[in-house]
Amino acid sequence: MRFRTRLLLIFALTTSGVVALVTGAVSVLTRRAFDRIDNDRRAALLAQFQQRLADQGEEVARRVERVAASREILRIAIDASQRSPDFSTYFGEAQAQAEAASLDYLDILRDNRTIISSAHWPARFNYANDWLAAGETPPAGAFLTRVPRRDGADLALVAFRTVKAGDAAILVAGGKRVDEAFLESLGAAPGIHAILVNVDAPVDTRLKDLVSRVESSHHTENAVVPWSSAPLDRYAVAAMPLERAGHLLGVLAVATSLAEELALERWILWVGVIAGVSGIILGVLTGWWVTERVTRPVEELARGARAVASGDWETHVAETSRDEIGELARAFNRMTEQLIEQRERAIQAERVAAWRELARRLAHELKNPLFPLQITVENLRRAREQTPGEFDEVFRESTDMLLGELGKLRAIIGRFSDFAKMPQPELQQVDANACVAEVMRLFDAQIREHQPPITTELDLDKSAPRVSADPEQLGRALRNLVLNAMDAMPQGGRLSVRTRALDSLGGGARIEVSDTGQGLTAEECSRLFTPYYTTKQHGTGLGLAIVQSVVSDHKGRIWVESTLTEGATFIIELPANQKPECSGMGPA
Amino acid sequence: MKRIFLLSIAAVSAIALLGAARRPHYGGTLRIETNASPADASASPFAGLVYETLIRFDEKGDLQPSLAISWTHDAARKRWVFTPRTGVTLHNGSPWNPGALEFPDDRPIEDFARAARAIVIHTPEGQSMGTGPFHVTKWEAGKQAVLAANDSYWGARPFLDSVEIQMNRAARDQALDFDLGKADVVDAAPSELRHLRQRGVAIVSSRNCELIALAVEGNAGDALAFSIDREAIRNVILQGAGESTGAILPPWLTGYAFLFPFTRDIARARATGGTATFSVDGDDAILRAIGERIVLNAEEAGIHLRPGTNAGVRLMRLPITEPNAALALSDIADTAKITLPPGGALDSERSLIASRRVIPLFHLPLSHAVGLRVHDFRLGATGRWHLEDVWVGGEHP
Repeated sequence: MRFRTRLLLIFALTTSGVVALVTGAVSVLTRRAFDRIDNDRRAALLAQFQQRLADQGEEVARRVERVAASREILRIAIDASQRSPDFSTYFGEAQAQAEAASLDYLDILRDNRTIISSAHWPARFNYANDWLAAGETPPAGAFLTRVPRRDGADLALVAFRTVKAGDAAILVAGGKRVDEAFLESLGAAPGIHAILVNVDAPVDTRLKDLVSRVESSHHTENAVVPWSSAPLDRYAVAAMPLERAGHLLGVLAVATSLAEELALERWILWVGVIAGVSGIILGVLTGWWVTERVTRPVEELARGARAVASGDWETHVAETSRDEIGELARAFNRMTEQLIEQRERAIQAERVAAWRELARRLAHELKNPLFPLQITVENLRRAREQTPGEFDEVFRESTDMLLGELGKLRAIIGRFSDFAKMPQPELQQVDANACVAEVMRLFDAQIREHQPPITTELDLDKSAPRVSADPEQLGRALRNLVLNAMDAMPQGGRLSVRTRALDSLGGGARIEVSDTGQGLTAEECSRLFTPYYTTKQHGTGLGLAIVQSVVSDHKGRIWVESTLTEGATFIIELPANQKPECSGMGPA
Repeated sequence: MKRIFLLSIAAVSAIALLGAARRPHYGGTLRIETNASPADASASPFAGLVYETLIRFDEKGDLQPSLAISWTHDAARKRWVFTPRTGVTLHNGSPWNPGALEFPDDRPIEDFARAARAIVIHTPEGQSMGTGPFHVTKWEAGKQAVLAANDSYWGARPFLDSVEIQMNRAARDQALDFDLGKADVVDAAPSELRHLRQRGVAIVSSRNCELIALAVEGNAGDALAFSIDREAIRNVILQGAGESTGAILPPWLTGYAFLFPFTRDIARARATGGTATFSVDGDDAILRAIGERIVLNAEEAGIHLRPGTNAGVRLMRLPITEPNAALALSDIADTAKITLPPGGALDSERSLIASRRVIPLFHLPLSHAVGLRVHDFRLGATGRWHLEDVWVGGEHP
């Protein structure tokens, strides 16, 4: 992945991450704030309900007290004190009293709590009032209970009062319904619903689970309830048990709509998404702009480095800033300048060394023939003092000697001349195997006659492709290598020549020439291709230099692998089709 | 002495005036308010006031002459032959001269006494005329009727000049109008009788001519019959009015009602138990209260009565419109939509009760509260108004 892409990705991820984090944080904080407000509202309504229940209880108790204090009730009490009281005439009395006292429920009871008259269920006369458990003493104040009616039971606030007449007593039990109308009187704020759940009747399916939990725990339970299929129609519901003496009478559910909260959360989410997308786009654009500014010099440096690596040491990168990148560019430029200077110096030193070597070699090569020449000329000078016959003989021998030595000098000069006049290769498709076989044939007789003997091993890869080469120059290079190998094995040994198909260089051939001579040191290996460098006593140091020159002209490469005392292997790789820009493959 | 003489004359005059106020006299309008809403003036409680039958039942259920003075079979005993009364005029003053009154003998003679068999003359102008002591001057079905005295009635002209009747009137409005003196005669519910009597209000009642019963479809009847505490209901809800009964027809009509006793046996009812749908016919407060009590009684006996329409158990008021056992039983069966078993009245009633298709509960009278200025207001055995002899004075309640 490119540096710029990576930077862009980091920018985008950072931006979207920050936006997501902010959106999430805002959502969570908003939800918490809403939850807190909703909880407060629900708690306030529950407290209000409790207070209203207490107030209503006092009112119910007062009204029942008034009914109990009426003359009509006293008359019933007096009748009750008779031996065989007839209560049938009071059948409608409870209804009249309930209407007058504005009570929803009123039972006039005998002291054994059988009903004399019932306002809300007149037909229940002579049946037992069951607002209280059997044997339970009526509390002094009002209390919650379930009042049975024709088709179920109502939750009600009721109070009992006893009216005595002599030894007899009757009871007045009255109450007010605690229902939706009662809840409406609480004046809940918009969006808050108070629902009274009758646990004896089928419970609203939306509240069923919550009510079940309250029935189990006998504590206030909270839940979020979907109110309809509409996605935003959800309510947070607090369900409070309404009970007496451990018996659950009903459940008060206070529900606050979450529509606003959910709408706001959705809005925040949308804003977050829009901000996120915008942020990502902005981040990408900014990142692109920033990375462009940051990576351009880096990429230029990279291009420069690649150019330097490919040999273009003249590469110069722009120094656009004063920051670290600018400093890097300046350092790079300094480095290339120093490299160039060092190369120049190295070249200069190489040239000097080469010239010195050349001078040394020339001196060495020329000194050998010069000494016989000098001796011969001095012999001739001295021979003038001898007899003409002796002089002629000396003269003849000396001239032969001079001509021989001059011939040697000419040969030396010819080799130097040849090296200087290496022609440009005339390329054609050449079968490397054929070329190798041809060279080996040339040396066949010489190798056979070599004493001690040299064995040969020819290993030719038939799949080796044709290479683009000048067959004369390639043959010359191979001859030099074979000759070199034979020279390296004066004590005999094995000469191996192998060809292989190449995967590198866009396809091509590899030629290896190995000997089992004394081998080379690492220093010798590094200097072996330097012109006029030789490890042989009578070599000119130009053979391998010529080989390297040929391989280089063919856009191939050559190197030597050697282990001291175990021989050496010279390896040539030649491309099938010469491509001067062949990347990563410098000439030898 | 002179002073004593003057005082004596004044006293005699006052007694004479008082006596005159207590004597029947013609004139005046009787104002009646009722919850009843008959379809026309031939039905109870109007029956006999506007339209008359050839023969009629007396209070004992015996047949008496009315527009026909006699009746007999023809020689072949295939037709009833009636002898019309002479001197009868229609409400428009034209004489009623029906000629020969012969009818096929395909029904009992008592059927000719039914109110539904009254003689109604339809004029070409579309009017309906009768021969009764009153004629209709205004009729708004279900709301109001005004009757005027028939001056040429073959019997004696009624004392009243007219009768104004408010029909389908709510009990509360009736009570209010009665107390304010705006109504002379109003319905008196059985549960109110005791209270009205305590207030000194005059009550006129018919014989027990209404049966409150359960019409039962299905097999819940046996358990229900044993679960209901009739006496408690009668004492408390009906305030002692009427009679608890196990018979369909009241004893005054048949004399054999004692053959159908009733008992409450919760254990026996529990042994059967069951579930049924239950409804109360009509919007009637007393009937609703009785229905609630029946539901409680049934619940106590392990029978669950669920409210519902087209219920298997229906609490009904079944009026006895004719003082004749067979006709009354037939009418009750028709009203309750029950097929009457064949046989005489006794056998049919016995079969009905044994099958538990009908569970008789109470026989109730029809009662009216009558204002102080109304005199001689009388109800027939089945609750028909007898207004021929009614006269009104100047008193106000």
